[in-house]
Amino acid sequence: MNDRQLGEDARVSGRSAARPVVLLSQHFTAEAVTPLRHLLAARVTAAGLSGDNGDDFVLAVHELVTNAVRHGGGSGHLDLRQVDGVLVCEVTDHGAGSDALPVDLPPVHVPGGRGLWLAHQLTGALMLTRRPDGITATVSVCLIRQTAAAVAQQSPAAGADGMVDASAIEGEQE
Amino acid sequence: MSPKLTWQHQIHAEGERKTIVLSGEIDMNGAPRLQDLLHAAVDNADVVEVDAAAVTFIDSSVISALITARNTAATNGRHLSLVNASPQVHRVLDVTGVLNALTVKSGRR
Repeated sequence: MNDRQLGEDARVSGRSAARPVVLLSQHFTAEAVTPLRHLLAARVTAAGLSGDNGDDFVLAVHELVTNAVRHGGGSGHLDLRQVDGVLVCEVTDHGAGSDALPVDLPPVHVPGGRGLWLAHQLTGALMLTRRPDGITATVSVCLIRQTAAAVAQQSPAAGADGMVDASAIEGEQE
Repeated sequence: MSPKLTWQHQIHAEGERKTIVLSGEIDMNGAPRLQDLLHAAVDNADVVEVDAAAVTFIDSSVISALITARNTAATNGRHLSLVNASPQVHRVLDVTGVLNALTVKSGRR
């Protein structure tokens, strides 16, 4: 892959290339769950996803991390990437079990089993992949749409013009 | 790296009624201590209220602890409910469908 050529293409087309930008890549165990969430929140905010949308995405990822620690062999790996205007977070574990993955909501009196439901509901885009040696769980959120909505809320005049939102986002991406 | 304490609690007892005031962030690393706290409370009081006004983060493991304690209380004819849910707590309980079950006040006061 030729980085310089990609960069030139991006400049010519006037928008960032669809090359994934790694924002965070970290191994985790149970002790790291809390600091990892704080780090993730900072990176997600820096990427332009703030407020309730940012909180929802961070909680969704946190549930996947918790799931990996609890049911996926006690540890895992988190990768947060930005691909154009989409934030993608992949949580990989090495759980040996072949238990069913409960994404459905349990009845109110059942204590557990709501983690994957939360991740799904908060992002609307949960993907679970069973590998021979574990599970890969992926959530994503559209950065451009969320940021545009936030801009529209703050300033109806600017929000009416979609181009204003797009240029603002590219400025933040550097 | 040892996990830091990310949340605190205060207990106010008034006769057969206890209020547990929580604050901070509670996740899977804090849930076991919360579970112990809630079980001790429902063992010793007929009515337990969990005040979540100053709670800035909960996850599904906290819901598990709350539902487990509520079930234990109900089995013994006692009541546990959550009051003053902060916006984050309200959102998580709402999305997971347990908001009413955990916040509806019992008839016994």
